[in-house]
Amino acid sequence: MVVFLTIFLFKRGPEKEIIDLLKSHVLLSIKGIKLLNKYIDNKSSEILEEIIKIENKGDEIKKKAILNLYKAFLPNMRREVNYSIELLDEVLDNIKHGALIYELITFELDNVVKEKCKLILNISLNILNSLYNLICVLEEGGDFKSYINNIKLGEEEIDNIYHEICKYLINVKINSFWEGKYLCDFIEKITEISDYIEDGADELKIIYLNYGDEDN
Amino acid sequence: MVMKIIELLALLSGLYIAFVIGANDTANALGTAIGSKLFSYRNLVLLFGIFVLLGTLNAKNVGHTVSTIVSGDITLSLIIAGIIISIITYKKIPISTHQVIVSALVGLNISSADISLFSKIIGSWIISPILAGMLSYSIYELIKKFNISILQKVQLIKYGILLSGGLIAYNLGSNDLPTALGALSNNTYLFFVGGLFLILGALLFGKGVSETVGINIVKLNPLGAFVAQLSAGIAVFVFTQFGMPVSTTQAIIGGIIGVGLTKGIKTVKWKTILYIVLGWILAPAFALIVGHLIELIKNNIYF
Repeated sequence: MVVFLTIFLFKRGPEKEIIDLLKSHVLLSIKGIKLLNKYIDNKSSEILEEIIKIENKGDEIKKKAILNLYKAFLPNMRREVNYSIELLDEVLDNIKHGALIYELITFELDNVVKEKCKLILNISLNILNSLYNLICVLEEGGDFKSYINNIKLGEEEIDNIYHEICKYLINVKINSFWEGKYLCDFIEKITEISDYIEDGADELKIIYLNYGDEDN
Repeated sequence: MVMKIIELLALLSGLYIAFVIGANDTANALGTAIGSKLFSYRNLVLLFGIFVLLGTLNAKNVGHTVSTIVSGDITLSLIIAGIIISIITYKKIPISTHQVIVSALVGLNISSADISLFSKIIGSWIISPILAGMLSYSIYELIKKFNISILQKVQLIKYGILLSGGLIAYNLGSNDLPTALGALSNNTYLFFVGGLFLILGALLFGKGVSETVGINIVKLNPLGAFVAQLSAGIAVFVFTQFGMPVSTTQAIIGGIIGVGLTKGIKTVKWKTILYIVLGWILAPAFALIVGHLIELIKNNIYF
């Protein structure tokens, strides 16, 4: 009986593979955000290329995970796992598009706006770490609520910073339509990162609510 | 010649009941596995068939009980049971085929029936869902105590539903089949043939019912469904060893209540349970009364 339980409780096969892919995707996003943060200070083409490469790697991981999903998990879990993979990919997409838009900004970013953008990225980094831990909980067990809570609080904080930036921008002098558009697009792209992280975490939360320990 | 025809009719009725059990009760064994969509129906029925036939090797315990409960007319009892089971299957009323068969047998032969044994069987009908409930409560609480991760739970469910499905299929062969056929003869070969009819019923009509039941169950709570099914399987297996014909459906309901109770007494819809229990009381009572009335009419015609 013990041998039977050991085999079935610890042999993880395709599920483990998908969890590992999810984790590596989040790690790529963490790397991407760190690079974007650097890119805001130093517009180097190498950093931009690295960000694009990371996004391509993320695409590959997404494809692999979605293909493997057919033989992993229980069917009624697959919808949530699939959504979470798609949403995580949006995080990398936003990092890349944010970087590409930032490349088009030819003027020097206002210091206040720059610092707030960097703060948004730092909070996003923090909640990405929580998302990583959340995925580990699916695999190893443990407290789920504190990580979800951290993600929700981080996302709220980013929303507030976004509104502060919007209020501040009203008084900032903009020279052309395109300058304004690119600046707004860049801010929106980096703000949306946390939305996708939160949405991805919510999908994992549904799995946890269906299968997790309700007393936890 | 007339006796031969009557015997053949009794045999056909028994096999027909086995066929209906296959069509109807496959969901008890395979519902969760089909709902999980992890295995093809063909493979599941193959596994199901093997366990049903294995169960027929242990069918003599229950067969002995059913064959000794009455010593009178069994042909009419089985025909009536067959008709009632067809109606309840058609109307999708969740009552036990065991209760209908045993009650029809006793009702039609009340003067010769072993009432003491019948009382023991009724006792088993009451205790088996309670045992399943206690087991499911304990197993579910135990799983919670282990604090296993979601990934491990998925593995447990994926392979566990095969184990519990196999156990329920084994019980179909060792308990349901001898209930339907035991009154004819307590013979392993007969149970084996009955097992083939049961598998045929599962192959031809079992898929639809299993899909409906299974997908809905798995959508609700896969771990709970597995624990309820496993507990019911164990409870019925225990009663089979004592030769008691008990219902898997009733045991599963007991198992579901047990899982529900782990989340607090308020989560169980007691009004629904009351209706189900009322059905468990009314169904055998109805079969008993109808059987007895038919016996009275039959006796008046003969004499």
